[in-house]
Amino acid sequence: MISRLTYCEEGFSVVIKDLNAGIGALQNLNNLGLNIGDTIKLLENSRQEGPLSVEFNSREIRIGRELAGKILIETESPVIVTLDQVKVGDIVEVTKMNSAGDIRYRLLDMGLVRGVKLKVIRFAPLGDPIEVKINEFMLSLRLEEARSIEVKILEFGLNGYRSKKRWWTKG
Amino acid sequence: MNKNIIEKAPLISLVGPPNSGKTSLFNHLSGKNLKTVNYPGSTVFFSSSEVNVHGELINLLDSPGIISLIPDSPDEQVAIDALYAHPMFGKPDLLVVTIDANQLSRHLFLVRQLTIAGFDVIAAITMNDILERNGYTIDTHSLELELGCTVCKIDGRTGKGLDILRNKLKDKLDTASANNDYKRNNGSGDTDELISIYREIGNIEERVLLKLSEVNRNVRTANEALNILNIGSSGSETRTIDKLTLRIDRIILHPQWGLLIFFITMAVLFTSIFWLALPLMDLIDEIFSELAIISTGIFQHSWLGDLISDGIINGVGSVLVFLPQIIILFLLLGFLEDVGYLARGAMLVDKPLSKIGLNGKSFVPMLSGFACAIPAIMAARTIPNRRERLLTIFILPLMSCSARLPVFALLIAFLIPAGNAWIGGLILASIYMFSILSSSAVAGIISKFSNQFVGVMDSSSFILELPTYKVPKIKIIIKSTLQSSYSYISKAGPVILTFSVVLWFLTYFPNTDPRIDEDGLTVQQIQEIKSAERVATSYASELGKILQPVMEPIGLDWRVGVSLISAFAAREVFVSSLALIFKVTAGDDDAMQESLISAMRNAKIENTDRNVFTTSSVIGLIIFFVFALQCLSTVAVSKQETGSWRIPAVQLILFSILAYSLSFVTVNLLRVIGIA
Ligand SMILES: Nc1nc2c(ncn2[C@@H]2O[C@H](COP(=O)(O)OP(=O)(O)OP(=O)(O)O)[C@@H](O)[C@H]2O)c(=O)[nH]1
Ligand SMILES: [Mg+2]
Repeated sequence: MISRLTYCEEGFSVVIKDLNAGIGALQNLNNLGLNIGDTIKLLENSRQEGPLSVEFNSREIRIGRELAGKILIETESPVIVTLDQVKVGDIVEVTKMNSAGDIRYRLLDMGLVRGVKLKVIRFAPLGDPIEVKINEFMLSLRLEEARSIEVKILEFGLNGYRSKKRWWTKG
Repeated sequence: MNKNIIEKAPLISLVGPPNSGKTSLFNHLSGKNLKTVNYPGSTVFFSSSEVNVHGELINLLDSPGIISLIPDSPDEQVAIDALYAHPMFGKPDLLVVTIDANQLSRHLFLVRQLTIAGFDVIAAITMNDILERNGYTIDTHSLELELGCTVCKIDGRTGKGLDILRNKLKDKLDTASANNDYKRNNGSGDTDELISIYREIGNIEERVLLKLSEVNRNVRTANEALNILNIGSSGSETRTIDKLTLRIDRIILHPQWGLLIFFITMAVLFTSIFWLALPLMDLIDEIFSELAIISTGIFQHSWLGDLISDGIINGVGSVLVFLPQIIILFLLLGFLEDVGYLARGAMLVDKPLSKIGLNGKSFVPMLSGFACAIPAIMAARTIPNRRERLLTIFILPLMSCSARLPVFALLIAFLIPAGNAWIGGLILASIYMFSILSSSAVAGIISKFSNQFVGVMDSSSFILELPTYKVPKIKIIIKSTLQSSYSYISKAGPVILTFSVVLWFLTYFPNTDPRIDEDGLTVQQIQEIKSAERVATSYASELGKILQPVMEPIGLDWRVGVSLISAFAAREVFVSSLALIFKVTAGDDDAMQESLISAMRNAKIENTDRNVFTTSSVIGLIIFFVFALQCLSTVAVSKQETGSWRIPAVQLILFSILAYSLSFVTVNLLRVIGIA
């Protein structure tokens, strides 16, 4: 399935399939010496913040988290991340709840249990909290709480990725 | 149950998740008009009413929303405790659980928990109109079989389905067993058990939810539809979340526009308080000055005449004149609440608020704090984290409440040329901004430096459901505004009247008819000089002179000091006391506020020719009022809600010190830079 570079495990080699972004991002990628179709190895991915580092042609390249989130790659294994790392439009399934105490019950009460499916609606204008659709209602929770929820990505919100005409890429 | 043995009327409790329509149903059944708003957690205390159900008298109890039997915030704790034994009414005989049709899988969880605990339950499904608008309906019969309890559909807004509900209530009450042994889940709930209940409930939902177009009970199609819908993938994604809500949120919560809209909303909210109210205020002002003139005409300048026109009419009038502003504030707040915007606002400001130790959920209490600190402090119950709740309560008195409006309005009118409402609105807006900033600073400093101040450290969270947007019910908003305004008047009114009269007495006696040299003076001038002399030799002056040394550093004199002291009864009293002490000319043609202002302009610090009210001293006064906790009721509610005198005592002392010293600094800084 298609995944994002930011969701990748360290140590894996992946092929850059595409960019889920405009031409500006492609240029940024090219400036780093990378292009669509290249095979890169992920060296470091802190999963929270800061740039990722990848190996390409035995050279280490650092890619900003913003850009890395737009790099689409192909992967076989299921993509498991914590809920604070998802992007708008992603559809995910809860696989594990790591929160403790009161908050755990609160989240359970809201229907956040293993197996439930969420759709990421948006991040609040200031970046936190995150808003997800769960069952039939909208729930907003802090990134901090989201961090304690492990989810499996079922589908990527590619914000119009498929429908957008992208004349600048080959093919 | 054999009712004639038991004299007490049976008790029916309305319970259900927040925002599921309990209060709406309560209002319809009881014919009362409690406030229903579109923000989860709007009911924080209980209301009860006697209701006649097909000839049988019952006690109906409305309660705060609960999500499960495991409490999360104090209001939930209270509601859950009351389920088992209400402090006043005891155990409920029957529960009516309101369930939002659009959130079955979550809300049925509560029903299941309640039935497992052994309660007698009727599930009342609300919001069916929204579900049906989205093309689905609930099969109540299947649901009854699945849940093993009575189910009916109602509409809390129109009253549809209530007759059926009444019938079922009656049936239930007649047949109810006397079993009142409830299993109590004391919080340490077993997670696996919870999860298994969830699983089961999710399955129930799939079985009872039918697509409207195929009400032939083709469960399989419904299931299929649901599977797609639950994932929320493309196409017919929104079953129940209103498409409209999604679309509006795209703008309201837009990364940039969202913030802009938020600021504009707040700015419009506070400026409109000022200029929308202006014509009405002028009208009230005029009416009261007319009344004063009429009464002087009748009683002349006897002491009775002066009591009526100065003590009573002026005192009451100078406060009533601000009623339009208060009404407009309540109206606009009610509107925003009911539409569903406030939950979004909470989400928007959670991040900055969490930085200063508060919570997005502090937003609604803080905003209501602009109306009145008392309901605001009570609304803080919806904040689950104790630390954040106490901190919110702590800073709420700094929110510029409507009782300060009269004071600010007067002082602003003193500062700016007459009739310039826009500048006035702007100054008022900046006072509000200032009060927000200073309360943030106080919160930030306290949460940073004093971890032990509030004692507990439980983990902070912000988990809030965003309600769908609803068309506001103007009628109810107006009714509840009138109610709040009425209770404002009925609470503040007697206090203000009493203080006016007491103060009038203190400023009028003992030297009621001072001797002066009347040669060559007009009647008008004689009156003016006489009353000035009377005040200067009155009891109030004796008492007030003790205050003189305290008032001098902030550029004022004992007369303002007396007004400030009387403002402890209620801040608005400040205005009426000023009117009484300074407005020495009664019954001229000017409107009251104008003549009070011109009296303020002419007032000199005694035995000098320095003005009492100058730009600097008035700005200093404004600063004083921003910080000072001059409201005994707030102190009392703060004690009640925090459970001890510690926080209110700290509030009182800290805010008084802040008020006085900051006002001192401001006045003297202004003077240094050349502003008199
Ligand atoms: N469309 C629709 N709206 C409803 C219905 N019943 C209630 N509402 C609205 O839902 C909102 C919440 O109703 P309330 O009665 O305040 O809910 P509550 O359960 O008392 O909420 P809390 O006191 O906050 O726990 C209000 O705006 C009501 O007008 C209904 O059947 N259909
Ligand atoms: Mg209610």
